Amino acid sequence: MKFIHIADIHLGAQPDAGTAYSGGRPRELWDAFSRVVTLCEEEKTDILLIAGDLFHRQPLLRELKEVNYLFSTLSHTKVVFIAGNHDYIRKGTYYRTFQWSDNVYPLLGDKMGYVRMPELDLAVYGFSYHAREIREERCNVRAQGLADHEILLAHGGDEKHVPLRREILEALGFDYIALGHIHKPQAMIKDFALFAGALEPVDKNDTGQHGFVRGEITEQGVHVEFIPCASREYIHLALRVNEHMTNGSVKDYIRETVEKRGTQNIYKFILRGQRDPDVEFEIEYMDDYGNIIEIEDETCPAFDYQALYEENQDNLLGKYIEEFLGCEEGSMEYQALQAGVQALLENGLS
Amino acid sequence: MEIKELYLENFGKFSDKRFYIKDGIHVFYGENEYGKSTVYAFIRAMLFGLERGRGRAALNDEFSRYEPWVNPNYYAGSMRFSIAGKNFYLERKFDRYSKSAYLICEDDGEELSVEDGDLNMLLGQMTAESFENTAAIGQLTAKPGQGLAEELKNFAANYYETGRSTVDLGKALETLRLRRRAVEQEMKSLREKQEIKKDAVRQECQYVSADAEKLQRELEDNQKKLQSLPRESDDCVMAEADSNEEAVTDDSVKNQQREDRAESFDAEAGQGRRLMAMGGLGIAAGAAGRLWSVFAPGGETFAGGGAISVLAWVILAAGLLLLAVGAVKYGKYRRQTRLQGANGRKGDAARDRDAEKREKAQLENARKNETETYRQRLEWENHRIKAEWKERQVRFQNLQEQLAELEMPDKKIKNLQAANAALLLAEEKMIAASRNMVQGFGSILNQKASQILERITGGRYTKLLADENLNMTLLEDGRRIPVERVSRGTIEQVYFALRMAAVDMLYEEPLPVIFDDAFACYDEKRLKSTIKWLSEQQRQVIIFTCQKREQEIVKIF
Repeated sequence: MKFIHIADIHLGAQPDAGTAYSGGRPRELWDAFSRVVTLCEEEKTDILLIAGDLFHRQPLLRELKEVNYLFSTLSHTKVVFIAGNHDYIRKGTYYRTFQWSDNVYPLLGDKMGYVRMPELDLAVYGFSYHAREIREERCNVRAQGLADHEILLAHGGDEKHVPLRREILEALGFDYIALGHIHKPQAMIKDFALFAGALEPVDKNDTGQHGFVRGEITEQGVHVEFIPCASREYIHLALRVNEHMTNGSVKDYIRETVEKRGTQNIYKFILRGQRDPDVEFEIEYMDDYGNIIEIEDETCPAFDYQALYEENQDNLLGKYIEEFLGCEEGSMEYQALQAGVQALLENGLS
Repeated sequence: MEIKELYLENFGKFSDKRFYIKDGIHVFYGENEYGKSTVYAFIRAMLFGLERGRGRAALNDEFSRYEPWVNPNYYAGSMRFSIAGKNFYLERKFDRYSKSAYLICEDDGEELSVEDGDLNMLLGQMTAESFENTAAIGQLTAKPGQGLAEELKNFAANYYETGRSTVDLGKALETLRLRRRAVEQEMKSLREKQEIKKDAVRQECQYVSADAEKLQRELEDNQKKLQSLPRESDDCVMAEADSNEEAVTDDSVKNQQREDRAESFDAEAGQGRRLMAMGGLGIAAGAAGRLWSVFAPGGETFAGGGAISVLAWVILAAGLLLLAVGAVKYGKYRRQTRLQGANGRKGDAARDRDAEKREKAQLENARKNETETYRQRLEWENHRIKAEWKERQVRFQNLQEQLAELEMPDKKIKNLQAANAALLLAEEKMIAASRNMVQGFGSILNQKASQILERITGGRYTKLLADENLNMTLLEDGRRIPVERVSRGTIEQVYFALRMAAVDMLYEEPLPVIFDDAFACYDEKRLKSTIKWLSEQQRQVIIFTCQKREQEIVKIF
């Protein structure tokens, strides 16, 4: 039995994707979802598992219709989905009343429920969010032996959203646990309990590859693989500057890096290290391709505080440095120390 | 620094006037109008230049005041002085046409540039203002200006200076404040951007809720229309339609029954007709038998003839009977059919009436159907409106959610807040550090000033306290006396002490101090001790006075 497991599609989200891509990004989320459905049809996948947060917010009726249309194009694949914390089953949600295509099996109950598919000898278990948060451990219902293959569909994994524990999941007796909510694709338990991760990255912190899980349950057991398919990737890069770098050289370096890693991707740069005290980085002018969402300037002027202190022990500069003795690098005090020393040196009388 | 020679080439009332100034204490004695203030102004103009004011200010400024009485377009002078054992010649032209300054070291002939700040360097960065505040004490203006307090603070920051850097506390603080303002500005613009985003969402919220309201109104309208439709007639139409249908079935049933009955009648009539035919035959046979027996007696056997005759009677009788029964039966049939025919005619009329009624009903139905479709349309409309309204509701909720997310402060703003806090902390700590330094400096200043004051008051006041802003207090037997409460003379002496202490601390190079009728309020005793103290200092002292007593005291020492 072949399955595809996706999660956190977040249809309807408007992720910040830089000036160049933000406008088209919501459409790209739909396209990615559509591609997965097409793939299911092409590969004659038996079942498509959607582990929550198909929508970023409450789906509109027309959105459900679009999704249902896509599902209805599947001649072979059956679809099972649950609602996550973003598209939770709220009072008056369209989820309650929507008439799904015959091959779609929503598990929208508050309590753990299941669907049986005798032709696949399969039972899929799961429940949906009826509130934004669920702090209880809910994934502790054992597989009941309703069919040869049993799969659990679950959304959560942090303290506010259905905490999950490895040892409990292991003991539940499912063949596979399809997890959603954590956007970074990862195996909680190898070949057994996987977070498919967001299908496309939907937040600037969703770095790394994104895609879906393709799997097969056979006599030999479960085999799964992660298939990257996202059209863009968020990449965070730290750039270490030195005292010889200027605005121009930093800008060039950033442009080259973006070209090398792909201009379709979306970047955040963090400038670190020590800069020439006379250079102020004009970070707002360094986004050549419109795909940089942020440049954080964490550089500090190249001061040798120890030497400065020793040289100026008896004057204000020394006394000022003394006020901050023992403060940690990166702390607010350190920032104050740096700002003050810079201000004092900039206004030297000699 | 020591001023050796002043040459007032053309300055104020003086023209081609040369003064040689000796080291130690030099007293310019002159009566009123002698030109003492002019000489003092000349020294200042030589050291710091003389700028022509602009506009109305130019009318009474120094430049105009000391414009040469004779030949005002030639406004110039020169001086000789020595600093750290080197002799310098300085020449300045003040008038607007030939404005220039010329400085040369007379020992090695090296020409220096006043414009490039060489003179400034020689004077130890002293400005005209600080000169006024410390070294130059005018008539009854002994209280040092606020500038001195600032300068002292700044100086305090550098007082212990041994390192490579000197700092300007005020400017450094200003830099920090500017940076903080820039950060605040950035935060503000980020917040504004956020606000623009929020506004866009809010606006959409408004559209959606306006839409929802419109739909609500439409729904209400619709509801009203629906209610205004005759609700009972609705039921009637339905009931009538039903009864009509029932009536139709009734009719068909009745017809069926009627037909059934007719069939049985027909059968009965056939039977009658057959009986009558048999009766007829019997009568004919009976009659034939009678006829035959009438003609037969003409024959021989009576008896035989009698038997045949009896048979003939029987057959005749039977025939008659049959005919009678048949006739009765047929007659009954005829009656029946006639009745039936009448009945049939009656039925047609009824049918006609039904049709009329039905037509009417149809018309009625058509009308009712029309209202019915209208009603249905309204109901569909209701459905549509409700669906759209719900859609708006979901969208509204989604937008509210988005808005709530936007309320949460952005990470960038958080970073800026941290930067702001850090800058604020930097300012605080810098002020704290400088306060520590000023305290250290202040106590030394106070100590020095106290010593001077003790000397010139002959031990009357031994302790002078000046705070950061140079508010001064005297301590006498443990009592604090604000300086404003003591006599005019003593006040001047307190200021004198502070100025002398400050000039001593502020400038490494011993600059000349100039007194312009500054001792008018001093009594003999204190003047004596003051001049004695001055004579012990390693600096040139220039005293302008209109009284002879200074000159006389100086002669003593």
